Amino acid sequence: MNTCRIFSRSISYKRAFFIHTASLYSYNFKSIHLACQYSPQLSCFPITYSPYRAIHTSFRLRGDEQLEFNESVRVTFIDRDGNHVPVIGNIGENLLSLAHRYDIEMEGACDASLACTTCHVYIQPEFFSVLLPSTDEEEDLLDLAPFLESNSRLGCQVLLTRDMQGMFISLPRVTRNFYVDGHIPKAH
Amino acid sequence: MFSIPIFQNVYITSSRFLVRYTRSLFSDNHYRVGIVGSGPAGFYTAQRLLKLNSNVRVDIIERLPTPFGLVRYGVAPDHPEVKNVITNFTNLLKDTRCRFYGNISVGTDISLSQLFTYYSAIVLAYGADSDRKLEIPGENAKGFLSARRFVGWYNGLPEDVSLDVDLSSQTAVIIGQGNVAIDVARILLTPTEQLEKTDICNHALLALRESKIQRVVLVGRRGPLQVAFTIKELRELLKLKQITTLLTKEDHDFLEPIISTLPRGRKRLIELLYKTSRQSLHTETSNKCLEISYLRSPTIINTNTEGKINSITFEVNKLQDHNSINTKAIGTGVYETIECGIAFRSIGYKSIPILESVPFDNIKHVIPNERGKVTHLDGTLYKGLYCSGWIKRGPVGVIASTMNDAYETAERVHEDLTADTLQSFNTDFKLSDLIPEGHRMVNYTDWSSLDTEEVSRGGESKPREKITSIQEMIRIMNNK
Ligand SMILES: Cc1cc2nc3c(=O)[nH]c(=O)nc-3n(C[C@H](O)[C@H](O)[C@H](O)COP(=O)(O)OP(=O)(O)OC[C@H]3O[C@@H](n4cnc5c(N)ncnc54)[C@H](O)[C@@H]3O)c2cc1C
Ligand SMILES: NC(=O)c1ccc[n+]([C@@H]2O[C@H](COP(=O)([O-])OP(=O)(O)OC[C@H]3O[C@@H](n4cnc5c(N)ncnc54)[C@H](OP(=O)(O)O)[C@@H]3O)[C@@H](O)[C@H]2O)c1
Ligand code: FES
Repeated sequence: MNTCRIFSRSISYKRAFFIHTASLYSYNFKSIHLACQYSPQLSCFPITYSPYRAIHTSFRLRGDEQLEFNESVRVTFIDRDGNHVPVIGNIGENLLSLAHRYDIEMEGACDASLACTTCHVYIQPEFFSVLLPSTDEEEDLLDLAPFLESNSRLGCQVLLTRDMQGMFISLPRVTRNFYVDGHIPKAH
Repeated sequence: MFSIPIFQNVYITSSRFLVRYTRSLFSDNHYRVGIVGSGPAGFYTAQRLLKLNSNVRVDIIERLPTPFGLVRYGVAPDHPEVKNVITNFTNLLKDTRCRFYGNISVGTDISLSQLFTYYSAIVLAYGADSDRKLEIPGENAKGFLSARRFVGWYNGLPEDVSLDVDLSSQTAVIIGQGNVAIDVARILLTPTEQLEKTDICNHALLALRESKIQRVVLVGRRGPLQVAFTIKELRELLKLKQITTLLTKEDHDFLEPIISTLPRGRKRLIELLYKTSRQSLHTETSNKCLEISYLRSPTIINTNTEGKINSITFEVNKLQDHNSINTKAIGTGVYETIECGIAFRSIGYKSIPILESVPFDNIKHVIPNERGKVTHLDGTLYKGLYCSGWIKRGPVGVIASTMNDAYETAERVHEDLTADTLQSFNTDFKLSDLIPEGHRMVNYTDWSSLDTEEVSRGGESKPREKITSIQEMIRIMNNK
């Protein structure tokens, strides 16, 4: 088995995230460290990062596999006022940090620590199945998100993948008459 | 290829934004919005308004010297992630268009008519500073505490830190099955070694270390299908080490066939309750337990000769419709008693009117409003007056619900500002001009110095040690 095994098609998006963000973004040292550990042959990360530029590279793998990495995807946010905001996100990046980079009003009160639901978004239904399934913890929180729909997700938990190219993500609109916590109090 | 137009777009948008922003900073004409209350409702209304309208300046006026409302004095100490929201709120306080005025109680230190002289609009976001009562005999007994005040006690709310909390008995009863009840139960049962690392106040930690409480009973007036707590909080309780959650199997039997028919948001919660009820047994390793009991309404708080609680009498209820979430409990005339040395009333917070001239709905305990704009009791709109958060909607909902609600109010204010129905100003103004000399107002810099002091008192292990006396807070601010 060659050293490049982790680049096979079964590569997890999480791992892809480490590799790509490390090369693009220098988010945190841990990810750089991991990237280097996993891919010694990619010792030079050639891309200078610009949030406004699409990045497209392919890695030649040892052995006969060729895998192409589109390192960014274009998606569109529909903000609370109904405006369409096309953006370019990095694979592995979560929707909350993407929205923040483009100054889109997604709150993220708990700073992506899965404790608030203020990053609640609706995923374009056609793309819903493309997303990695939500964890129990995310579902627990979603259960109490105002305006919950069947295509609801928490933005901070959705990591961009290549398959999301062209996806629309909308933020809950400010409307009236929502009931909270799924609890209906009873007047006695 | 396409990077250039996009880049230009961004450039154009940002330069336009800059021009607008700079103009708004120096323009003579602007709107001033006064927000009463610095909880999530106050901050989110301010945030959205500042974003929607570059001509707005916001003052947040707070009764306490400290900002953040229930995020500081409500959210449990062992939920630090929830408090991350403070970072966002603090960024807002650093914005030149937003000012903080602490230690000013609207209605006492300053009147509404005074405020209206200087503000285009006033947003009331003062939350719910009281709580609902059971209205049963013995409610004032020693040892029968309001959960709201107990929360204030462990979180260091100045008016509640002297609450008499006696944890020397074995059993504690909590009436109500909402998330506050769960918070209280968790604080009573969590091993103190875990609480030591949180921002829980030292006086509370000391008392909890000496606590003899072994058994906490969470009593609801309706059934398992109607509980008000949420799944995240229940799961957290179930995960507590060395604590067993006891659910009576028979109470939950009827749930099995209906779980799949329940709406999202209820289904998984009920499923978890059901599953737990199949397996809850006292384990050898646990020495403390939480019991969840249903269909019991308290009727009398019984006391000993010294007036201290020793038991509660409950009437056993049945439900009008067993299988409906929205159903009513009816008494059966059968009574039973639970012995306890301390008990908590956790049946909901309650807002109170603080300003005579402001309409108030005395049944729902909220300010009547239309999308956040205050209405008179006859339904006509009150010019320039708005409300947001718990005072607008009632004391239910997590921070996310409060945020949505605050956004709605901000949009309503913005509509009126754009329609030019509100007064604008062209001179600067400081709220301090309205406050009598000698009254110590607190600004953002003062709060920062207090914040720094609290963090440093927290030492190595705690994120902070809250200062719980207002005099001491002021002394620290004056000395910086
Ligand atoms: C015990 C408890 C725990 C909670 N835990 C969570 C949690 O973990 N996660 C979550 O999402 N939500 C939680 N919530 C819900 C959340 O706290 C509320 O949704 C939110 O705080 C409501 O915001 P608000 O601004 O309307 O009220 P508040 O937060 O109460 O803010 C009102 C502010 O107005 C001030 N004020 C009052 N009177 C005056 C006056 N006369 N003049 C000036 N200022 C005044 C008060 O001092 C206060 O600072 C919890 C609630 C409670 C009670
Ligand atoms: N971790 C968190 O996210 C967190 C923590 C704390 C609070 N909060 C939020 O803050 C809000 C307030 O919480 P809360 O617990 O104060 O209120 P709540 O959720 O409204 O719960 C109140 C409970 O008291 C019961 N009750 C009301 N009147 C009663 C009476 N006369 N006799 C007996 N029982 C009675 C209710 O039962 P009925 O249903 O029968 O009326 C209900 O079980 C909630 O929205 C909550 O989610 C969130
Ligand atoms: S930011 Fe809090 S849950 Fe996503």
